Amino acid sequence: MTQDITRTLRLENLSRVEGEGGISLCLEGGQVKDVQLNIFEPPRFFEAFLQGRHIQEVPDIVARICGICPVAYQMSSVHALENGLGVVADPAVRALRRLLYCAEWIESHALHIYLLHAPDFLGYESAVSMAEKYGAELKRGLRLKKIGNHLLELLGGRAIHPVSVCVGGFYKVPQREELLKLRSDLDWAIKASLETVTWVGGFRFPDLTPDYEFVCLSHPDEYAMNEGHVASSRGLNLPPSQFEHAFLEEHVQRSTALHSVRAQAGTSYFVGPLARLNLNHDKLLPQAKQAWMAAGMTPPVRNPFLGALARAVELVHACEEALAIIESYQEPQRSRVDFSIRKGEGCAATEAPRGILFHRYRFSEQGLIEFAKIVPPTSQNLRRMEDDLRLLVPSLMQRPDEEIIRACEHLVRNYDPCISCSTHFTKVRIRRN
Amino acid sequence: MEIEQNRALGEPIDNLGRVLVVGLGSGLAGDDAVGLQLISQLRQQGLVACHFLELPQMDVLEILDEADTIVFVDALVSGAAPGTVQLLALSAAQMESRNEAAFSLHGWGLKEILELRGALDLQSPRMFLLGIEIESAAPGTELSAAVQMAVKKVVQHFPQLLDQLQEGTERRLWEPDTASTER
Repeated sequence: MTQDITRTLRLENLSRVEGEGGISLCLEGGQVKDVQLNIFEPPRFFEAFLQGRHIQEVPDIVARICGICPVAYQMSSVHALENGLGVVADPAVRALRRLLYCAEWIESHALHIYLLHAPDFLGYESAVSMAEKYGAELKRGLRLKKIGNHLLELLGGRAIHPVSVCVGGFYKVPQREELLKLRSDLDWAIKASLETVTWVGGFRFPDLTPDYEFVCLSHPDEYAMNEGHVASSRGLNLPPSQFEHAFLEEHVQRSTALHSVRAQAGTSYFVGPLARLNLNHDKLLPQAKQAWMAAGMTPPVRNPFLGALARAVELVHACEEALAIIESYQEPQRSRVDFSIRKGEGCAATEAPRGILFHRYRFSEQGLIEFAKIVPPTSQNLRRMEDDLRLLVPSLMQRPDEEIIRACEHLVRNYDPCISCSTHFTKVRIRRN
Repeated sequence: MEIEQNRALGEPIDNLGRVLVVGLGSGLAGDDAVGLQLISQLRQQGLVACHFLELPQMDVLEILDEADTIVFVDALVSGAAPGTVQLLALSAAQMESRNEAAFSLHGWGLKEILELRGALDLQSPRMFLLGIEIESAAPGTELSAAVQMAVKKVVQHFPQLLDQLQEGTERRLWEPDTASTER
C-alpha cells in the first residue's frame, strides 16, 4: 500500500452492539487523518417529552430508553427525584434496588461477553458461527443471562422494561420465599461466572495501553452501583450534584448522540467495568476479588481489551451480591414511603452495566417535570472510542481494509456501546489519501 | 401497562404438549396492539399460558424453552380484508433473514434465534403464527372495529383453534364461525 494514496474505510453498520452506528476512517500519507464514530440512530428526544409528565411516570418512561439496561434508567431517575423531594427509601428497599441492579448486570454482562464480544477474541463472525466449537460455553452464557432475566422479572414484573419501580420504593415487593427459590440458580451462576473469568482470561488481548482517565462512582462501604461520589483515576472526587461542573456534553454535527468531555481540559474519559475495577477493586466481594487477583490484574489496568475480563469479574460480583441480598432479605413493612409532592430539583448518578449514568430533573409544585437531563454512559465513552481508534489504527496501516475494519469494531465493542441509549451509535468508513 | 401475571404453563394438550401463546406488537400503534389485546383476553380464559413481547429480540430465545407448541399472535398486512385471521405453520427454513443478524442486537429476529438454537442442538418447539389482518397501525391506543371483532371471535373459539393445531396446518384462513377453509 503506497503512502500517498488516500484510503477511506467505511463500516456502514457496526455489528454486535445495541443500536445503529458506523465508523469512518481517513488514512493519508501513512497517517490517520480522521476518525469518526457516526451515530445515525434517530434522536429520541426523551428529555423533551418528559417535560410535563408526572414524576411517578418518569421511571417507566426512561426505562424505554433501553431494552438491555432499563433498570439503570429507572435507578438514576428515582434516586434523582427522591433527592429532589427529600425522600429516603427504606433500607430493605435500598437492598432490593441493588438486587434489581445485580440482575441487570448479570443479564447484560452475560449477553455482551458470550454473544457479542467473545466472537471477536475467538475469530468468528457471530455467536452462531462459534456455536459448533464453543457450544458448552454459549449454553453457559445463555443460562447466566436467563438467570439475570428471571430475577429481573421477579422483581420488576417483567424482564424488559420492568414496571415495579416507583419514586419512594416499589409498587410491589417480592415475598422472601419467592426470592429464596433462586438460591440454587445463583449458586450455579457464581460457579459459572468464575468459569467465565477463567475462559475470558484465556483470550488473546491485543496490546493497547492509552493513558485513560477512568471515571466511576465510588462508595466507601460497597462496590458502587446505586450511589457514591464521582471519582476518577486523576484524583477527581465530587458529589453527583457537581457532575455537570466536571463533565460537559458537546454536540457533534455528524452524530445524533452528544459527546462528553472533561469540562476544563476538553479531554475524553473512560467509564464502565474497567474504570470501576481500577478504582473500586478493593470493594469486590470475596470470590470476585479472588478471581480478579488470580487473573493477574494489577491496577491501573489500561488495556481496553481487558474490559472483557473486567466485565466477567463483575459478573461474579453481581451473582455473589444477588445471593447475599436474597439470603438476608426480609420483606419491608411498606414497599414505598409516603411523601408530599413539592417544587424541587434533584440529580443522581448510578452505575449502569456500561458505566456511570447521570440524571437531573426539575419539577413543579404539582410534580410535573419542567426540565430533564440524561447523560448516558455510551455518550460519555464516544470521544474516548474515537481517541482509542486514533491510537490503534497506525499499527494497522499496512493491513487490508477488512482487517482494519474488524480490529476497529473489536475495539469499539470493548466499550459495550449502547447506541440506542446514547441517542437518547456504528458503520466503519476508512479513507486513505 | 402490562405486568406479567400468568407464566405458569397449563397441562399438556394432547399432541401439542405445553402450549404457549405469545402476543407481539405495540400498544401505542393502533391495530398493532392486536397481540396485546388478544393475550389480555385469553388470560382471563385461563386455557393456555400466555406471554406478551413488546420488543421481541433475544428474549424470544428463552421463551422457546418454555413450551412444546408456541402460537405467535401478531398483526398481519397481506392485502386481505381487515379482521381476516390466518393460521400459518412457522419453520426457520421458510423465514427470511432480516439481514441484520450480524449487525446490531436490533437485528436479532426469530430466524437468527432459531439458527443459534439449531447450532447449539437445542430443540425448538412447533411454532405457528396466528396473524390478524389490520386496518391501520397509525399512532393510537384503539383497535379498529374489524380487528376488535376478530379478537373477540378468536377468544370465543380458541378451543377450536387448538383442535385445528392438532390436525396440523401449513396455512389456512381461519373462520371459526363456519369451518376452517384450506387455502
